[in-house]
Amino acid sequence: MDGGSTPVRVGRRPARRSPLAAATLLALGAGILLALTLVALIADDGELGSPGLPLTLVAVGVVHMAAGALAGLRRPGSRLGPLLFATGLAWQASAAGFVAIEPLRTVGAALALLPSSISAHAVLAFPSGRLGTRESRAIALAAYVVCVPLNVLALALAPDGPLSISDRPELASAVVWGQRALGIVAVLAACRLLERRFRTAPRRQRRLLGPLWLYGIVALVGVPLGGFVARLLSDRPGASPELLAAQAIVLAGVPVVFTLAVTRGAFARTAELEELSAWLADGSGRGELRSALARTLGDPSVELLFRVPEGAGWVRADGIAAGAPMADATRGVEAVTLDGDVVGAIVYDAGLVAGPGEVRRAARVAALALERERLWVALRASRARLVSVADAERRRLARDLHDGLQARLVLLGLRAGLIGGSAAALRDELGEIIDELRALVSGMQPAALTERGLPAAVEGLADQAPIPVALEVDNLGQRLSPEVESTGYMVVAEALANAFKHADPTDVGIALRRAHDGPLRIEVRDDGCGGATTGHGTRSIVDRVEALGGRVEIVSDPGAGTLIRAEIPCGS
Amino acid sequence: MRVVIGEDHLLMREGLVLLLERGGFEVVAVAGDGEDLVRKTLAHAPDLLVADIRMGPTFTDDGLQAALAVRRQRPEQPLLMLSQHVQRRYAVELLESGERATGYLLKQRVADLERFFADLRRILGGGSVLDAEVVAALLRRPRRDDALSRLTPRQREVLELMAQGRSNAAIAEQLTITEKAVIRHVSHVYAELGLAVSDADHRRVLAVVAYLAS
Repeated sequence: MDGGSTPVRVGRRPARRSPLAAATLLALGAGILLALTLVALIADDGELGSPGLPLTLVAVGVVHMAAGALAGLRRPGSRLGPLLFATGLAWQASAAGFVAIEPLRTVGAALALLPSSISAHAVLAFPSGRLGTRESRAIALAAYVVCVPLNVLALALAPDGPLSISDRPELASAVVWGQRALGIVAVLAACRLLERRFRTAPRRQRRLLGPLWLYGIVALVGVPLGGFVARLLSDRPGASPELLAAQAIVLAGVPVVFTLAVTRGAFARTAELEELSAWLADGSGRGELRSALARTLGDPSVELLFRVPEGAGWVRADGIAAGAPMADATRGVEAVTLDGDVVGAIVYDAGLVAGPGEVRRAARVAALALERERLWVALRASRARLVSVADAERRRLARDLHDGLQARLVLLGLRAGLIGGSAAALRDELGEIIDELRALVSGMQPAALTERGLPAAVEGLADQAPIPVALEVDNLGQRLSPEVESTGYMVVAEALANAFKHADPTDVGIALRRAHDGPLRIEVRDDGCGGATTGHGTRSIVDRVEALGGRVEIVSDPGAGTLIRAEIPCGS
Repeated sequence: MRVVIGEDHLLMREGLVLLLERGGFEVVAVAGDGEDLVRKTLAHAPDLLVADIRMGPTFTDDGLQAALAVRRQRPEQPLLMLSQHVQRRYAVELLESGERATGYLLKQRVADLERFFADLRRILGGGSVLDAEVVAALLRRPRRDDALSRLTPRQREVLELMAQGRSNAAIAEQLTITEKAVIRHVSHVYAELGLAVSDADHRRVLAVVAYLAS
């Protein structure tokens, strides 16, 4: 069987217009409207000097919002999209500091540095959009403190400006120095954190994500450092508009690079979680769950393990027993639970998948499908066990009866015969018992099957049919395993019995074929009334064949005869 | 009369020895598996080979294969195969393997001593004996032609006994009719089925069985 090679179309299916997509597009539209309004206000205002800087800020904001929207659409599971979008809004807010409307100017001045801190936040949170560790949360918090409250305080103590409330130059200077000191500490801590992350990342992840982190570090360090150096070199208070514009453009690279990574790099195979849900809801195809998860998580190495009852522990999708899944440095394990019970586990590449949260969400969506697949795997395993145990038991019993009871009765008859005279009646009765026993044993396991194999036994079946049956045998000179032979025999016996009982055929044919070392292929066809339903007999054929890893196909349209095709793997 | 026995079941083997000695045979060798049987039969060249079909070493049809191996070297070797069940394939293979003297019976037939010894004598006389069970199965087979259905019930009875290897005299006795009437029925059966006429017992059985098995 070639279960592994089925092409999976999950990733290529066009995305459905989901509420999320609609909301994202709406937000992007609103953001662009805001940007256009700002542009109009800035252009209208000739008094505030060159509009170059504010227009640059608006443009950088739009780039962030567009990148955020794209990232959000491509990876709804990651918070990176919303974060980048928020950064874009922050840029717009900082641009508002350059319009003529007083309250907007005030807000813009207060939030002028917010874009830098939120950019730092995004760099630290890449690629999942979450600040995973306490350290990264502390650094991000420090960045926000430097850029918003301390900035507002500094402006409030400044001699003039929209936020000035009292002119306290010495205090203002202290706040600015405190702001710088904390800023430098935060930037250094962030660089160290990113450097450590890069060093501990698995090689594959390092190659893919390294350039991004490098860019993040450059942006983080370069922007404040640039401002600092410029301030040292310049005798003017505050930074020049040119420098600020350059800084803004450097930071605008961050969302572009991130979004490129999200859509083109390590996560190119990413399909939305929603698509996974849609695919699962379709109920199409079994056994493709692993591939679907692999696409959703962007990790082709994803494995599925199923928890089976009866103390058997864990099995793989093919029913083979496996050890309990263990997480290590490179492989992550996410247990899949349903109603509080562990039904399976997703084993993934910890380097490629953004974080356990994403796997956990996928696991929640896939839990029902995994449970269905698990039950199927467990059922198949136990059915195969039952069928093969029962078959082996039947063959053993038939052999024991043949070698034991049947032989003993024949011997007893011989003894009665040797006594002669009055024992003749006893002898004849024994003969009848032996006839009955022979029919019984033959029903359990025909002697022809034991002695000559499948073709001879099927020939015996054809001999017992009410009409002549065409029998075609190809390349079955070699004996097959007892399981395959007795299963094949039962397929033919059941198919013939059904045909003669229900279909009233005038023409019946059996074909037994085997390509060199290939599976045994059985075909039983009749020209009867067709419409064979899957009754008990057919069910038992399917059970037996599937228990040996084979498959059965029944074509039986009303009025068009019946064709039963079975394929049974012959092992080696 | 010297006989070689092939039987792997120990008690059954002893029973057969006892039985054949009662019938006036001298048991010159017994074999427990197919290879041993071929060797001993070829070495002793007995007047009769009596063997079970299923025995070692593979416990499939080793006894039958041994008999066929003997026949390839010595087609005239009289033999009787015993089994707990009968197959038309085996009947045809056995009849075709020799020139004469071929028997194939259910094992339980040994209990009717009188009849069993009569069958042995027919085999020793060059005739062939087929179990009624095989012949009945052959006659039950579905056929594409309807030659058999054109036979009268009496003719079918005669055909059945012919296939079992009975002589015309024996058939006449069994059906309590005259031998002349049997000869008339037999020639009608031959004509209806399009068989070549043959007087030799073995050839007659072979022809009938080959027809029924086709």
